[in-house]
Amino acid sequence: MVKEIAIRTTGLTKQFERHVAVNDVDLEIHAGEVYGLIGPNGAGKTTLIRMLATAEEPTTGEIYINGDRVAGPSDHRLLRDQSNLKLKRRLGYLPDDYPLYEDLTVWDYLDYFARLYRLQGKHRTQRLHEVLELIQLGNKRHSMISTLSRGMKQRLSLARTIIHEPILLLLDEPVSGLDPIARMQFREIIKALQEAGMTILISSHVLSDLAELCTSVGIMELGFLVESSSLKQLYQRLSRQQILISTLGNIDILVSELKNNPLVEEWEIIPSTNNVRVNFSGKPEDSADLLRSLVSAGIPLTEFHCTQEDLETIFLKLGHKQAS
Amino acid sequence: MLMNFIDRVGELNPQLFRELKGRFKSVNLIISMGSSLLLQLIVFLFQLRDFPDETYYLKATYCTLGKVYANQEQELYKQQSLLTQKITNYQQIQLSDNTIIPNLEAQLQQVKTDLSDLQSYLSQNICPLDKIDWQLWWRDHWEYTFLTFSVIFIFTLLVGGTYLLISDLAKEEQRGTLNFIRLSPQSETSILAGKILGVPSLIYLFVLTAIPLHFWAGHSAKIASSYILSYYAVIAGSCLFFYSTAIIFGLVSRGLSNFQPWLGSGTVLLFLFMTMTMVSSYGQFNNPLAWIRFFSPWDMTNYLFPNLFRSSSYRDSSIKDLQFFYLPIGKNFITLVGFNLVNYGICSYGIWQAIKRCFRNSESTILSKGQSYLLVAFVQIMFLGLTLPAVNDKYDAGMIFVIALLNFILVLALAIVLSPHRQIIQDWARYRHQNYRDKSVLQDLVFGEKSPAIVAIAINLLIATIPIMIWILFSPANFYNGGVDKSKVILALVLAFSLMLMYTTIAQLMLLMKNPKRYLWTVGTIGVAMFLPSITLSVLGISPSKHPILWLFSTCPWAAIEYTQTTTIFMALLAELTVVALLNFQLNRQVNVLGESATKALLTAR
Repeated sequence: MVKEIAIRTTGLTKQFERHVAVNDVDLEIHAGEVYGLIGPNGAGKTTLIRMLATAEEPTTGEIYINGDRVAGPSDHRLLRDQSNLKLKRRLGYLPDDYPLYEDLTVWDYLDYFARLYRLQGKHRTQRLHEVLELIQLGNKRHSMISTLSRGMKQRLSLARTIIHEPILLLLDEPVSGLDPIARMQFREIIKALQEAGMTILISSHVLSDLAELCTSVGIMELGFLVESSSLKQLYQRLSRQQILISTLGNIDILVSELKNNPLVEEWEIIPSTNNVRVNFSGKPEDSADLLRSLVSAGIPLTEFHCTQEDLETIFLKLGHKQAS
Repeated sequence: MLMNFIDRVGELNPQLFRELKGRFKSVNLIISMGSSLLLQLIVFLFQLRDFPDETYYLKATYCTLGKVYANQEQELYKQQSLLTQKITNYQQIQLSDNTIIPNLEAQLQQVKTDLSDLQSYLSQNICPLDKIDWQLWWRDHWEYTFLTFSVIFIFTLLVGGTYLLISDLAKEEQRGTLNFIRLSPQSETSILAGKILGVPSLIYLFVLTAIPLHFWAGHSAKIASSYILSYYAVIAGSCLFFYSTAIIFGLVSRGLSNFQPWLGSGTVLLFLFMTMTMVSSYGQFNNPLAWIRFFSPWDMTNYLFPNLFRSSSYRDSSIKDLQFFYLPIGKNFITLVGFNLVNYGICSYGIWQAIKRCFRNSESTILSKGQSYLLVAFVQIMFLGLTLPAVNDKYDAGMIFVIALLNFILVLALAIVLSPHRQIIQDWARYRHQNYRDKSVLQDLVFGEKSPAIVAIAINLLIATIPIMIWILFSPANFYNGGVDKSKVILALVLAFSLMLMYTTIAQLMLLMKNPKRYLWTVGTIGVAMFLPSITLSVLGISPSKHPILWLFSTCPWAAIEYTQTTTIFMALLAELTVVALLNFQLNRQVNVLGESATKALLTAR
């Protein structure tokens, strides 16, 4: 089955004075994906997201959302125009700063935005309850926004972003500045939203979060999209499989046994332990064979652990500076 | 019940719902309504201060007996002066009868005694309560109350309302919350109408609480209900106009942040005071400047309630002579109120077109090029409509020059308003070949959203000049009492036209500067360039009659036309056109430099 394309840009460029913030970006995100956007500060992530959210007009290039062209040459007015009502109801955008109205209660705030997005009567009340439950602020619904903690405010902003059930979510640095528990709560919500079928574009510095959430990633640098593929492909292409092996016996016997296996590319004895880290290029069946051969060779193994290089290592290996 | 009401309002307009939810808290409601009631009480008690009681003197205004005594007093004064006159006359001639003068003096003495008796009686005696004209007393004092509130309403609504609106917009813009509203599928009209209705809601409540007393006072003062309702309509119209202006001001002056609301409402306050003094001092209506007065509610209020500023009858008669393209609209109050409301309506509509553009896109120009043509044409209609009826046979060129000067200020303002952001011109110049392949350059320059404004400004200048040209051509006589040839006046206008083109090109060039304060610089430079030459010439005592050529190159070339030969004007025109051409050449070069690619800039080492 060919997956529908949720976002497609061709030659998308944004220029400020002589500085090109986003340079000729061709991006493709399939429906239902969680797409992570990585890159150092100033790489153009926020500008790209703002253009996709129709908050900024591209200098040149085209944007298609769900197949509808929303920005491109000879557009006299922005897609922000009210003619694009359909698009606006499909989009949910959470900017990196999340301003709120401090003079309203949680319920009134969400109610206001639900009305702005034309949710009516009972459906609106029902949706409000749903969203409040999802972001776990049900018990705070009559509190003034000014009394909420940072994590709660962030979740409330997310609730505002999804109140109208958009099918495309654009989240700019949503977890920055949150403590680990708040981040975990946030991840759970994002997972729930993905299960509900939303396409999510999320930019973040916290690569471990992205690795856990995303199905695809794109890497931006100096305005260019230098890498864009599914996480699986990325791991396949760039991440090596590693096996950590520990033995109670002589480490040299283990090493000599490893040398016999053609799929073992490299090994490294971790100093002052009886552990060896092996770079292994085989499939899972091959690693099972390796384990069997080691056991049958009579080596007293205590640990045989397959791991993959994580996103952060890959990112650094690509030669990109991770600044955060 | 209140929450129910707000909820129902919210179904119609979510923005209004949000504003009311944030504002209609019980403390605010109590303060708003309470202060209104307190004010009503104070105004009423202030009037009751004059209430006639046991110490109400016979001579006071509302004692009916006062008139009888006043007549008596008058009679005695007459007798007194008559007798004095007689005595002086008799003293000058030789009299046969010596008793005449003493007799007369005795009579005069009698009259004097009577008079002082009457006066002491009047000052000592109290008017009986049943002889007081209660009806008149109440009518007059209801009228004072009515007028007091009429003035309070205008100030509170216009000054307070604009302050709240601008500060609310500034706050939302600063916090960044306005962006979310922008991205919602609501129309600009719905959102900003919600703001206009919701943000000053506590002021509305304040006024609404006072309306019953106001209407009752007017009714009791025997003011026709139709007049009172017309007053409300005019107030509503002016609120619409001023609030729309406040919103566009709030949207375009983002850089001023905290100072914004003070500047905006301060200007409104100043404008109200200015037009208030105009109403009570300056009477002429048929001239282009009088248009300003139709934006302030004072003239209409004064027309509807002539006792407002105690203006004497000859002054307020001038608005009754008001003509618009010879239509006598000042003749009755319906056409006059209608004219006022239509003026508010058209102007507010125009402002809303600008609001719609600026709300979604902070980088777009306030007006599109097409809209600017309509604006200039509309302004010409208003100027000429008000001016033409005042023109008669003996008319000289003064009024034309007032219109020309006002037009130039308008076009200069447009030159700044219509110029796209530097970034947009840069993008336009850089990517035009990619983005606008199907459009001709000319079409793009005349109507395009992102192209430089210079062609559009030239067109606006033409729209502003052509009606005056036609007027001059068809006017019966030469100007300055026949002293100046028509062709010279036209030449002077063309000269002024090219001068304006020069200023606007300079403005365009300056707006392409990288300096972040370029708007300020531009306004400053153009202001100096416009006014400095004329002021310097006047200060140095160089009069147009002695050195006409210098004056030809100032902003008021018409001062010199009387003393200049046609050929000289023509030469001056040629010189100015050369400068304009050179400046435009430079502008073109500048735009090309802005639009060159990074590679090209690198290769030319820029």
